[in-house]
Amino acid sequence: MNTASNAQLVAATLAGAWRADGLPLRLSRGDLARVSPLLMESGAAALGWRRVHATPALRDCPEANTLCQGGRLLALEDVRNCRAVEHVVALLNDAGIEPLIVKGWSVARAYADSYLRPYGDIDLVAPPGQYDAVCEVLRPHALPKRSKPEIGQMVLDCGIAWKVCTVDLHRHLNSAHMPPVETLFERSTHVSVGSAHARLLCMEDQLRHVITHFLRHGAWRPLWLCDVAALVEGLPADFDWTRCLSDDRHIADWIAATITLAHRLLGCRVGHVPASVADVAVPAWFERTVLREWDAPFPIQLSNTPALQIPRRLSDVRLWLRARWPNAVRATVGIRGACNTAPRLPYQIAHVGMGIRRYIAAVAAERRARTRA
Amino acid sequence: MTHSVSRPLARSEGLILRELDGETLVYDRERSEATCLNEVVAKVWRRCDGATTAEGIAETIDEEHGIRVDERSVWLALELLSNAHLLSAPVELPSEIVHARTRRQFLQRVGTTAAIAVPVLLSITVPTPAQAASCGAIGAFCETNVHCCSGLCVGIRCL
Repeated sequence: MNTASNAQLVAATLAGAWRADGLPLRLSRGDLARVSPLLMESGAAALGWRRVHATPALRDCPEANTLCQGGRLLALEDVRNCRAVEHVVALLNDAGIEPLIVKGWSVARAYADSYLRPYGDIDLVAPPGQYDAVCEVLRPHALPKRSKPEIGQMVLDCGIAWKVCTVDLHRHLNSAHMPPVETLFERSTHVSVGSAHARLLCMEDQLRHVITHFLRHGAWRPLWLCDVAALVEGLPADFDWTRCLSDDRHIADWIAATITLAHRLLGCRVGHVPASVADVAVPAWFERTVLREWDAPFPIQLSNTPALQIPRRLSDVRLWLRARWPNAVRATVGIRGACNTAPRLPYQIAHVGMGIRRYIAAVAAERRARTRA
Repeated sequence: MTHSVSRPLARSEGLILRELDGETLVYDRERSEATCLNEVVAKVWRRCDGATTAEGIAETIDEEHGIRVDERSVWLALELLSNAHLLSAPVELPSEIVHARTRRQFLQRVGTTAAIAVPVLLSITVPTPAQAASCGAIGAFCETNVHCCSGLCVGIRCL
């Protein structure tokens, strides 16, 4: 008898969980016990609970309890998060600034209920030329010891918004894969956040951003592919595929492969998507890499790895190497490589080299800045 | 000193509420505690206006929702709510309840069957599920390893 891998269980549990209609789940209690911690740790507890809740045979079993409690907590957290987003956006509105909201809150709107898609940060893009102005507005509310305003990361005392909230402020969105910020704002749409006002990426940019984000981070989080699936299923009839795919062939291929993968792994409905996008050949290494990540979908699997010092024990060497070795998806996308069937090892080696170069450059720049100071 | 009351008043300050799948979820900001109320307890709680007695609450729920709630069930719900600090002041429990304090004893006395709705209040206590947050790329500022995608924070930079 074949035993499903952790990754297969994760995929089976999350399939269609973002939709309004709760799909019953075909899973044994033993498998549920196995998949629960994986879903909890990867931020998909609420999605998992939604499927379990729709399955009478599983709903009340003890193995479902952790997911149930996790789902409840995320539902409460969602209320706090929404108020925090409103609070931060209102602060900026008072200064005449309408920021662009990306990732977390903006993607959660594609789900049947926003609590299904948890988020920790409030990701904002400053309007062109207003980055410093946004910083000035937020800085007085930032907790100095926990904030790094120089890189746009601010932990704010949200006061009436019920919580301390983390703002991740961007000047632009990964410029290698996304249009310039001026273009993003031109195409953006207006959205109300409670009584405040902000901008959202147009659907074409939103889908492209979510997919490139999933890829740049090595596809380790199943929730990110759910984002893709939820967005794809909710695309409007006038969705402009040419704009989304861009004229960069590599990016277009990656987007098509990711949507096809979302269909294959999570049952994303793609009837309305052109076959050239939703039914392409996905390189075997791509699917294999994603499933390997989902076998243990934890944010930082390497938090216990030894730091830069040379490892002394053999067991440390493995961890040390693993910490530095990018998976095939992250390596290829990181150096703007093609999504084809060629071997990935050269990309991975190149990615490591690029990382070392960047690190040295960053340290050198910091030393120069310190010397000047 | 807090006085107990016989006409309970629901607490409204410092709470975050959310309805989910027929349950009412409550987060107490002051105590940092999350609680889940089943339908019966939630209905009792919403009728705690400081003017209605337990008997009145039972009648209202019966009339408005067709849910048969025994007065003793209301008292049990009030005790649960009081213990969870969701009432403005502790309730003054009748002697019958005081002498049958455990839930099991109480339910035995009620002789509960499926015909009477049973109040249930649960604490939500699990490790906080992960939120969806990204991590620092190579060269990004960091304080600990968990801030970096690579899991390695060297000095103040992600490697």
